[in-house]
Amino acid sequence: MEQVKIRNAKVKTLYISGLEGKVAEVEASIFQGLPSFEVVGLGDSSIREAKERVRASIRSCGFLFPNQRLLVNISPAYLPKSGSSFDLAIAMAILLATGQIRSPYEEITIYGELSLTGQVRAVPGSISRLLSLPKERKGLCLVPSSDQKEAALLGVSVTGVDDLTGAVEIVSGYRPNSSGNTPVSFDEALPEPSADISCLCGQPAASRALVLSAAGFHNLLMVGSPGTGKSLSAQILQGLLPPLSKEEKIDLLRVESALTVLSPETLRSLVRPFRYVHHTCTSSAMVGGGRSATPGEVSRALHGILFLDELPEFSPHVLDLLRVPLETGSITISRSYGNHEFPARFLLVSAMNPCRCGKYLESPSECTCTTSMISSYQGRISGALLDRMDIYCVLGRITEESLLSTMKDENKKESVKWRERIREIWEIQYRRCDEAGIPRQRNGECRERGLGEIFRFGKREMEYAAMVAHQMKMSVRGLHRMIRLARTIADLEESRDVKEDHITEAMSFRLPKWGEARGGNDHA
Amino acid sequence: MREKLEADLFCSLLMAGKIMNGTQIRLLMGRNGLNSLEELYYARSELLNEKEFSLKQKENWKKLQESKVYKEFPEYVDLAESSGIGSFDFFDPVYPSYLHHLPNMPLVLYYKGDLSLLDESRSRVAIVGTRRPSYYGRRVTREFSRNLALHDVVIISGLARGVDGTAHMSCLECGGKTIAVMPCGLDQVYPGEHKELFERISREGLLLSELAPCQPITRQYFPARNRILSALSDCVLITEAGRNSGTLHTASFAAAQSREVFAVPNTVYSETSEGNLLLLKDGAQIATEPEDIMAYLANVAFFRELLEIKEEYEQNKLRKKISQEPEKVTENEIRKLILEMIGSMAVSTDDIVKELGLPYSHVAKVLGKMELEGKIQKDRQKYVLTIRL
Repeated sequence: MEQVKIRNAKVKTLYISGLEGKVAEVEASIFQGLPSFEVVGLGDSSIREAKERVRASIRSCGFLFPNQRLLVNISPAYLPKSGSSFDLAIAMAILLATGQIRSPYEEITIYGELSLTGQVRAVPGSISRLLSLPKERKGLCLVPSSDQKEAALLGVSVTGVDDLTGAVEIVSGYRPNSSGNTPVSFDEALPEPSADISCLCGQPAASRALVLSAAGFHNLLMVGSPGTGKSLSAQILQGLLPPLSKEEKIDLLRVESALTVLSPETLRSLVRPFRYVHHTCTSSAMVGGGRSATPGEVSRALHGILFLDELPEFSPHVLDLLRVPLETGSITISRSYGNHEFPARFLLVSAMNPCRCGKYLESPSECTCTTSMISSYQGRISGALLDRMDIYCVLGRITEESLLSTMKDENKKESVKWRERIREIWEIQYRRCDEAGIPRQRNGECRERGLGEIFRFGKREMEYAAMVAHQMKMSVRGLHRMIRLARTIADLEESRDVKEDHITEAMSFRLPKWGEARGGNDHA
Repeated sequence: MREKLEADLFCSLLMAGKIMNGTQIRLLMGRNGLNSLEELYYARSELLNEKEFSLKQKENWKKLQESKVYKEFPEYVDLAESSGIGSFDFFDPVYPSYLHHLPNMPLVLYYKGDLSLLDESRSRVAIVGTRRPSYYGRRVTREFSRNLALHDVVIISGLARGVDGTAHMSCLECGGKTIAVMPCGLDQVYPGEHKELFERISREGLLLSELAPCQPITRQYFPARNRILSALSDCVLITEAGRNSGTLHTASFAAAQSREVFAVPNTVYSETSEGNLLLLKDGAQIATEPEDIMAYLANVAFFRELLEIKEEYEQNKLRKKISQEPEKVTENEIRKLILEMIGSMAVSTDDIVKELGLPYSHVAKVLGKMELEGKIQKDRQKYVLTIRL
């Protein structure tokens, strides 16, 4: 009787779960028996379909597909896996197991999607995958050739492959393992802002609010009648933000790459993200979720702007989900097999009408809303969320003269000047954080204890702030918000200490009690 | 300066020695066409004619001439000068104009410290009360004094034990300005335990007294000092006063000088606050929070400011100044223009910034302060006057 012959081979591969890159092992075994092909290891339907892609591409590259009992296992087998990135690893494991190729390398790490003709395609999640590669490793790492740019960015040395034949040549040592990377450079110069701040010359309060918001990363709520330039202001704000730092950019790319294959433009651009979220947005689209836990808008707006237009039209449930990321800078999605943590540090910019018809503030006589309609409209936003808005600003009606000045295309470039200035102001804030021995953060993001000392408030200034907060009936969080904003105002003047005048100005950006906003006629 | 002090001290001696009182001195000056006390001092030998004196006056004059201070007058002046005491009198420009029309105001005042606290543009509140306050009285005093001081209100009191001392202390602690009107010459401290506070006020605030140095302390004078205290203030706040408290004198002086009197209420069983309840019964204003006082001060200041901006010429001058030398425009001038705008209609910050042509931060801080002081308020996100005209 012939000895039962089992042939084995294994390669490593990289996959993502949430934003986390993980290492898996793909083993292939060939036994005697009826021909069959089985993949085990909690794969979803995209992995089950891999069987057909692998079979077709092995054949079209001129290799033999074993006509025996073939079993592929992906371990760790207790974690669910998904995606088409296992194709290349499965194919390589099978070829090694059949003995059609032999490899001089001890360990092979490989991932990529296969086409039916054996082309290797890029898959989402390259950044997380590459980051999960151990720093000290021996052997070979093969990636789809378009992922080489990302690898160069992260400083990881890998080899790019275009098709299965090429991969086989490298694995079996016929072709040298050329892991030379061409360095990737960022586009240091940001493109011209789409809207310039000089458009707002008729609305000094709004332009001041935008500058402060950008200078300290302060969450902003704009209220105004339709057509007063709320959406325009949000765009202008994006133009005021300095470029991303390298660390921030990689953070952001990790999120972006989990969702899609990165284009070279996205890879190089340092423009901060601007996510315009529609008010029909669901909760899982907002904070992330789904079966395989993909990041949502709050994570895609990482280090940039999350713009919520028509705030009261959002589902209150969705808005309340924003409270946790606003406080902690991250969001955790729980699944039965574990938690996913997504980064979610963003600048919340929101806009709303004062009432449903929008005329309440500007022309009350034309406003058709009843008092109860107005309060139910404004009441859709919970106090807890309002409490986290640092700056509240009202956009007034645009007057004739400013209309005229927007028609004239004077091509002022004030936004660019402000952007430079704001970059300097951020530097001041970072330096202060260094001196205080806390992580680098902008004023609006500072959640440390002892704000007064970090922000250099004198004893009298602290007392003054507390007195103002008491008189204006602010909450404790409201007081902290005012303190942070006062610090930014002082930074804009390059003043070392915060003075009373700064606190007074910060006070003028406080949120009104909604009662106060609608009061008006009642006690007049 | 020494000549001035010399002349003022001389007049004080005349008054203290009961040879002439303030009115008599002023009549004498009027008869001889003199414009200042210095002139009187230089012409004293001709003017003080013993023949015209009454018997009593002659007797007092003799006594004065024999007294130590008169004999060693130059040394006396040296002493006053070296202890840092200054003086001003009724005929000086620094003499507050709001005292001019009040009857029985002192001819000469001695001071130590910062005279600018008497400026007409500043708001001043007198906080007075019992010398033996309860915990309630101390706490109320502290809270009112602190809050008003943080709003740049000058706190006036008498440096007595109890409420007075607390009022001064809490004001200084938060960096505020305070005036103490003393019942004795400024070379001595009464009560002695407030020596430290006295020194501190002389550095950071203002000490005032009607009495010349070295004059003896008499209990009879205590109520009389209160008339100066109330006259210097825009309103008087009584935080805690018993039934027979001297504080009630201050209240009646204030009422006579048409200064508003505020009293803090307490339960009807509280003995230490009996005086307050009496005052409230007699029609004093009730003060339950510092904002009550602020609202009153806003009213007073508002009318003062509104009177000043009535003239169009004045306004045009200010506007010209803004366009030509914007960095020299003071906060007060911005306030005047803002008040004038808000007086006629509700305006937004944007409107004001555009009208005045000043940077936003400049206007916002002034508006914020005016709002905190209770002069203006937000209605539908526009500013309106809190005071209805």
